[in-house]
Amino acid sequence: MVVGVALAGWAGAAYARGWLAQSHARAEWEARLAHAAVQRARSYGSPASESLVEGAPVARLVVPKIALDDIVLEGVTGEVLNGGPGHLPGSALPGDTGNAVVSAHRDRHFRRLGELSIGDTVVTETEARRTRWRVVGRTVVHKDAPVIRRETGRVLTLTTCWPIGYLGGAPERLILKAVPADTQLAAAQD
Amino acid sequence: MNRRLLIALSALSLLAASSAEAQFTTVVAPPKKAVDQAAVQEQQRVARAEADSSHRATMQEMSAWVDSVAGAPALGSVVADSAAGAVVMDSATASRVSEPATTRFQDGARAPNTASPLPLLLLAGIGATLLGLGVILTSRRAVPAPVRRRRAP
Repeated sequence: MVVGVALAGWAGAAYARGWLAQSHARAEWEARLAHAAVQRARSYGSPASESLVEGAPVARLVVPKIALDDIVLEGVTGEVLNGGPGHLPGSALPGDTGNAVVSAHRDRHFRRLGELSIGDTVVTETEARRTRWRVVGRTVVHKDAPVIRRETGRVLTLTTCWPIGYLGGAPERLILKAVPADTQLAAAQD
Repeated sequence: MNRRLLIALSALSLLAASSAEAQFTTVVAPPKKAVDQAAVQEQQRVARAEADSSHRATMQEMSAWVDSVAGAPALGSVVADSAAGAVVMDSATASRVSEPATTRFQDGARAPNTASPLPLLLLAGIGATLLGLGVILTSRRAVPAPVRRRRAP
């Protein structure tokens, strides 16, 4: 029983830390937005993805269909993903040219990501811009499959473990690909 | 007499040990064989062919198939490759080689590791707690209540 209480307590504490980290990130994100507005007014550029610190809030991710509204943090380490969806370092920021990769745990922030299908809407908001995306691809691949690709256009890739609602290791990954809503669908499905 | 002879022989053998060792351990090197150039060239040709991916293509597939049956990962790296000149790894093999988790964007990288042990640990913890509570409750019920004896009038 002592072991059980210790295990449950440790896991519960980790969940609580994640919740606190997301709350803290949201407050910090709002402060950064205000700061960015001042910077733009002084005609400074937006921060580059390379200079972001791990764990720092980089964007806001909103998916109306699954009632997701979370702050995306920089990095995809276990500690970062415990606090919120993680932006893969080195990938483009959501809305910038290139492939912006955002990943999250299937038991927390992306627990309903499997409900998304082609045509659904995703909204991202960075310090520089707000982008409305449309899901154009949904695939389940082996966990070792090379799915992260360099893109010439603006692409948003959302990843999580698959199957969702499965305990233990994750043999597969759910990959959702989205393009800006104003992009032609035929051009997006290259 | 015999005892004196035995001691003398022992002392003699001890004194003569070093020279005797030198005598018995000397190795006379045999004359060098003539180098078989044809055999050496054949050996070098086989080694080159084994390192060449174009030659190994079928063997690589065969090796991957055998390893997949045996459940063991197969590495397909090739050095000194005349065809490609780089590390060659077939996709079926690459998918099974354990690599560090993706923590930075790279073209062709796999998706970041988003598997979390927390749900399993939480469930195991709750299960163990309930099990422990059950054991405690059961053991309390199993202990018989103390019987009070009435005093004799």
